Amino acid sequence: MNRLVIVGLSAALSTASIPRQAASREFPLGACLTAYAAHDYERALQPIATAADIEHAYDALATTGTAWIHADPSDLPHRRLVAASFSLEVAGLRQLATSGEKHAIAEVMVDLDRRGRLAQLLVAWGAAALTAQSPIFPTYAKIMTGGRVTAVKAARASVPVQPAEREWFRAAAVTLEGGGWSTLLDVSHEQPTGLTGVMGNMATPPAFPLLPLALARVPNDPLLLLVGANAELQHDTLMMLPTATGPLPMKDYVRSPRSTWSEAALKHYKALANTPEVSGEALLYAGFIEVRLGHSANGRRDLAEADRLTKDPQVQYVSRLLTGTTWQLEHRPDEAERSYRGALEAVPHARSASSLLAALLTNTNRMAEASSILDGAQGPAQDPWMKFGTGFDGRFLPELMAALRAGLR
Amino acid sequence: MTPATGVAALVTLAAATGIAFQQAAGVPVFRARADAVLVGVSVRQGDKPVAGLTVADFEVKDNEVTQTLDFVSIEPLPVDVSIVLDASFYAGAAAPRALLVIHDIAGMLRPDDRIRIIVFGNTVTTRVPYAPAGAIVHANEVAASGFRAKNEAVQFALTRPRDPERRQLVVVFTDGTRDLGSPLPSDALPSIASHSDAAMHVVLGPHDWASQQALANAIDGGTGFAAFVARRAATNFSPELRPLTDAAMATGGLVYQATETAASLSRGFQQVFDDYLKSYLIAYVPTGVPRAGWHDLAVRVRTSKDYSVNVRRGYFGG
Repeated sequence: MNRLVIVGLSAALSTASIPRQAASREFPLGACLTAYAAHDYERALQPIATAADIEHAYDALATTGTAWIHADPSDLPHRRLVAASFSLEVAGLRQLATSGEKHAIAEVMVDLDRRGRLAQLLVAWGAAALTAQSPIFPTYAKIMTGGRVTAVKAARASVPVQPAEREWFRAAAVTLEGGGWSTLLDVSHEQPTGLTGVMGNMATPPAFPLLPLALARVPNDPLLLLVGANAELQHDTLMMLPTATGPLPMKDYVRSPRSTWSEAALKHYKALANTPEVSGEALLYAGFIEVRLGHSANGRRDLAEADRLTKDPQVQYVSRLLTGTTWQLEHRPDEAERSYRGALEAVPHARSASSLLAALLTNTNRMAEASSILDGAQGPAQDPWMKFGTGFDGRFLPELMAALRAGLR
Repeated sequence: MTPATGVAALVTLAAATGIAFQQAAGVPVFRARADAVLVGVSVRQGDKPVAGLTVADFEVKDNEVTQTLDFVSIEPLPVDVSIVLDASFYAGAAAPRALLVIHDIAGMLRPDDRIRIIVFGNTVTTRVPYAPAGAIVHANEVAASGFRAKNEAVQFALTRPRDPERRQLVVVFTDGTRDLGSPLPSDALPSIASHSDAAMHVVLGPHDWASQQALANAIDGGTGFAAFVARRAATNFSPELRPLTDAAMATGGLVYQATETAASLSRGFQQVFDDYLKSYLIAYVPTGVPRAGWHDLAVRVRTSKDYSVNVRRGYFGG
């Protein structure tokens, strides 16, 4: 069946909605994939409205997805891309839901580990489908028990790279990072050691080797390298405490094994400082690490450079916010106040700068303005700082998915 | 005041400027006076508030300089009550309990009082803006979160412009879980509290409901909030809780330990509110001290050593 036939078939089906099924074996995967191939994305994703539906979709992909791909040998590359993209869309639905898209996943039904596991499974299945390694990791258990090196080698020697693959891998990496699952990207070939600090024994979960595989298919892609550095940083749970803006409290932290991941990430960020697409964000993270390590002057220099290089208001916001905290720690409230106000110019009413600025104003008896600022920060306003700690690049997912969909045409 | 006596007291600073008052036919009459300081004071003997005190009973020192009082009165001003609820009190199966507590509290207020409900999980949300006493409060469920923006919620509740016509009471219900959701560090809270006009009380829900309930049963037969096992025991709390408890103390507020039931929480608020309403207002025009900057406050009842007085630590004079 060629692509025109698929489009025609999906057009014929378009008058009927795809039924949502309760049991996994009844998930209408074929109809979903056909609708997706016909670019009818709303219809393709319609059966997925709850967290349980995501599980059913994965079960269906794992059992019959490969058969759908091979149903038309003349269209294999395109079908691989369609199936992989559908799988990725399902993995990213939680993020889209929190971004206000129509697919409101009942996320409270699934705990964090389960959501992360499901997203990883869907991404892994898509990567396998895309690179014709079907099925390399049909179950999570097999991801855990090995095969990662084999998978990367196989990916290099696999089918030719399709043009849209770059968008797919970028979107896949950002899906995991944006969902707060950067540690599942498995950027490194070694498991971390020494993570037994104040956060307790934080065992890093075994992960599908998405980034090594992605970089084998799309070498030196700046966004993938940036996400990889972010993933490395995420392993340092102490460094990434989501609310801590100042230096880490432990004086011996820099020399402790816990800092290994952050130092490695810092090198990666510095290496990306001259790559225009990601230089602003790379320097932002570099400045953040410097600040957390107590090197305020170095941190401010990197943060200022990040601010200068980017036009992204979220990068500007975090840069100015962190700069303000360094001034505050040095007991220079006027400079801190200017920095916080600058952050709020970039992203008005964001919570973190509003809170820190209001505290400064309160301490100088400007209670009325402090109250007004806090009132303005109430509600659903986005706060880049709160996303920065767990998945800053999730903000790119909608445009990356749009680029991927464009690549399917 | 010592834990051994079990005595508690409450002091609030209603306004550092803007109010003076005099008495006419037994009813306080307020009039604007730019240089007056108005302080709320709670005096207790054991667990009971002490009534009937007059100007002659109090001694007030402002930055260690004894002041001449203009007036002492039982608090007549309307109160704006801010209830700050940890989502763990409020989410899922706990929601009916929380709503019951909120309705109970709304029913305790006087006609001119107002109530607002602030809930914090990973964000801070004003679930109910200031509503008049007796209003039916509709507060939808919220999702619990592992990241509690407690510091931010407390900051939001305390940071209000001064209103010389009203007093502000903040009651924070929390299980004391570490804040991982606020950009504001915990150690910023005492300073914010020192600048606030509000009196803040903290009600700690236990991490382990069962053991706490057993303890409450042992103490008061399970009637609930009378079992303030940690009352005025801020120094016994964990270092993580210290900034919050210090903030409460800075406003003249107290820290309580709650038991499980909705009734206990309501009763807890009732006790806090009753104590608050039975607190005194004292007014004076500072003399012998520079107006600007921080003013340490010290208040005592000179006529009895058995009474316990708790004074907020001070105020900023602009």
